[in-house]
Order: sequence, then structure tokens, then C-alpha cells
Amino acid sequence: MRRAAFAVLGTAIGATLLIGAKLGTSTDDPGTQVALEEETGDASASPSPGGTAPAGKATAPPAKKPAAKPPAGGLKDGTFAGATANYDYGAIKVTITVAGGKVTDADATYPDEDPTSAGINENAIPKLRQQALAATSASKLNTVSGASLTSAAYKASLQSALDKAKA
Amino acid sequence: MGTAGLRRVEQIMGTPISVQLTDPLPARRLEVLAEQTFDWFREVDERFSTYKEQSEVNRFERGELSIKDCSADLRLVVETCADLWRETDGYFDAYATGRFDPSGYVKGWSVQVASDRLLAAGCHSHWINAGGDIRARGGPRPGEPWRIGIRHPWQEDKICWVLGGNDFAVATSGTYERGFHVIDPYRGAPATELTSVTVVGTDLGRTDAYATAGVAMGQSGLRWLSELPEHEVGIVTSDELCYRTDGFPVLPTEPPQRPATTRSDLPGQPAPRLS
Repeated sequence: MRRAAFAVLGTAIGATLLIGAKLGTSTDDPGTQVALEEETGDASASPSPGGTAPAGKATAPPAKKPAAKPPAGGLKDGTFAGATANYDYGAIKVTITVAGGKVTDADATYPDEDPTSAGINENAIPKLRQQALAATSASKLNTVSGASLTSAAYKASLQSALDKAKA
Repeated sequence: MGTAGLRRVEQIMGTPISVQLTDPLPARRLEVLAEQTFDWFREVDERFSTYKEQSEVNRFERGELSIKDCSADLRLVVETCADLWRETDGYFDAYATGRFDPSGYVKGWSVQVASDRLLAAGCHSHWINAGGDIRARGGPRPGEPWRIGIRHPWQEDKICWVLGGNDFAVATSGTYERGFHVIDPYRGAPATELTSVTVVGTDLGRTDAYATAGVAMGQSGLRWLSELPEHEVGIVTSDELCYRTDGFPVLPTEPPQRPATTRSDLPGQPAPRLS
């Protein structure tokens, strides 16, 4: 539920940023919690209405200054960060990077000043080890666990072979 | 292997059930215990099958039997299915087909009961495997763990993990055997992201239900499964990655087919990424 909500919210914010980038202006609609904050080399970023400093991942300034007019791609070059948006489950901040008129990177961070969102951040990544799938024909097996076997599948299964070998 | 004891397979409840008993008991005694075990599964089939017109489950479903007139077993099954529905946010649903069908719990539960009865009867070392769901106690020989392979999702004659233990329930659910048959009750469509989910615990009815629910949850099942208290999980996703909790009781496979350490086993590697 929570992750789905994050995804929906992140997408919504990202879309707003795209619109902002497309227009080359920041959106200052007071009706929305999301505002554009253009982080450029000349540090002329428009202030975020929320006043929340980004505590998430720092975004690198673009190599060149943003073009005065949107290039052919229609998007203004630069890094655009949304203001921190608060909602029931915490806070989220989405940053997109535009280069050559195209979105080259999109990132969502969860500023962890807020105790609510800090709790979520800790649990956002499951405590699981990841590894590549291995396929072995290990010997000395006593039995095999697998998804429900039909009779036909059982006949072809490793379990069936084990049963035959040892019954 | 030369493991002593008794080994038998029968088809009951539409499922191959394999049993191995390795206690140093007289052969005749082991035979009686095995016979009692299979008798129990035949009884469960008569009482809990949704395919048998006069089964207790069908009489309960038709309203011919009120909950207070049910056997203690059926009441327990009904109540546990309700508990599991809540615990799994509705992803384990005995009413998923539009009628009360507790088959997804009964199989694991009946194996658990059979194993508990064997233990009470003095058989401390055995395993029972019903269609891939296993309750194991003791070991093949004193001091040795049972070695349980987890089937490789795409290669029926291969395994992707070997688990070891001497008192555990191992249940695997997945999308590979009967196609995408685990339906996400919220989307009404099959869940496809988690190809194989293995849950290890001590109560096979629960571990089986959790594995089924995890598959139905799809991607979000990764986190839900990883946070199950007192259970360990191993998951294969449709993009051929494996995830497991630290306590998942894997044994080294023999012979090692790859260097013992893989990249993701090294410290400081990126955590699994959820998108």
C-alpha cells in the first residue's frame, strides 16, 4: 500500500516537473504542494514554498547553463527538483535531470528529517540478500520442495526420481 | 545413501504424498506408523475435499452444518483461514473462488498434524512431503540435517537451493507449475513477479498460506515476506534473481558449481532495488 502510494505520488510529481521543464518556468501554483526548484550552476534556484531543505541525495549541477529557450526536444536543460511534498505516509522529493532537451535521470528521495518518513526509509528496502539464480543438481537430497505438483508434473519431477530411488 | 527406515509414496488428495521415517524402531512398528499417517490423509480427503459431495466442508458450505456442529478440526480450519485472511491483508482468501474452499490451508495443516502425531507416537525423525510442502523433524542419521532441495522454477530436474534443518516446515508456492494460477484478489489478475516463494517456519499450514499470499502480492510481496516474524523466506523473481532472508537455512550445494562467494554476498553491495 505504502509503496504503491509513493509510486503514484512520485509519478505525479515527476509529471509536474516535466511540465515545468517543458515551459522552462517554475510552477508557483499555491494550490499544489509541489513546486519547481531549479538547481543550476548559477544558484538562482527559485525558493521552495515549503522552505524545506532537501536532505536527500544531492544533485549535481548540470555541466552547462540552462538554455534560454527550450531546445528542439522541448525541455529546458538543467536539474529540476520538486519541493518536498508531505502526505500521510511521509515526505517525498523528486528530482529530474534534463540534458539535450531530454530527461536523462529521475530520482526520488525521502528526506529523512521527518520522523515518519525516516521510519519508512529504514524499511523501504527489504532485508533480503540478493544473488543470481543458480541451477544445481545437488546430490544427497532427501526431498524436494516445489509449487503444487500435478500428477503429470510429479512423474517428471526430481521428487519422483528420489521416491523411485529410495522407496 | 543407505538411510535406514521406511520410505513410501501414495496419491491422496490429488497429490503425491511421500513419507520417510528413520527412527531406529522395529520395521513392523514403522509400517504401522506409516499406515496410520496415510489413513489420516485419506480421512482428511473424505472430510475436507470440495470434490466430494458429502464432505464435511461441503455440508458446511451448503449450510447443512452450522459452525457449532462442525468437528473441532473444521472449526479450527475455518478460524485459521479467517486469521490468515487478516494477516495477509486478504491475499490468502479461502473464499477466492466464491465459495468456502480451505484446500490451500488444509494440505499443509494435515501434514503438520500427521507430523505432530508421529512425534507423539515416538517417531522423532521423519519427513512428510505433500505436493512439495514439507514438515521435517530429526534427520537421516543422528546429528545430520535433512537436506531439502528447492526446485528450480524453470528446470524441473534442478534445484536452486538446498535447505538443511532438523525441525522445520518448508512450503513453496509459485507460478511455474500450473501457470499463473495464483490470483491477486485486488487486481483480479494473476500475479507474475514472484515466480517461486519458499517460506520456512514451524507450522506448515501457515508457511504454505504465507507462500501462496506472497506470490499473489507480486512485487510488494518481497517486503511483506521479508518482514514475516519468525519465518525465513527465499524468493525467485521472474527476472531470475534470488532473494533470501539472512536466516534462510541454506546449505552449501555439493559439489560447488560456482565460486562460493558471489558478488551480492560481499558486504557493501547495493541492496535489492524495488522499482
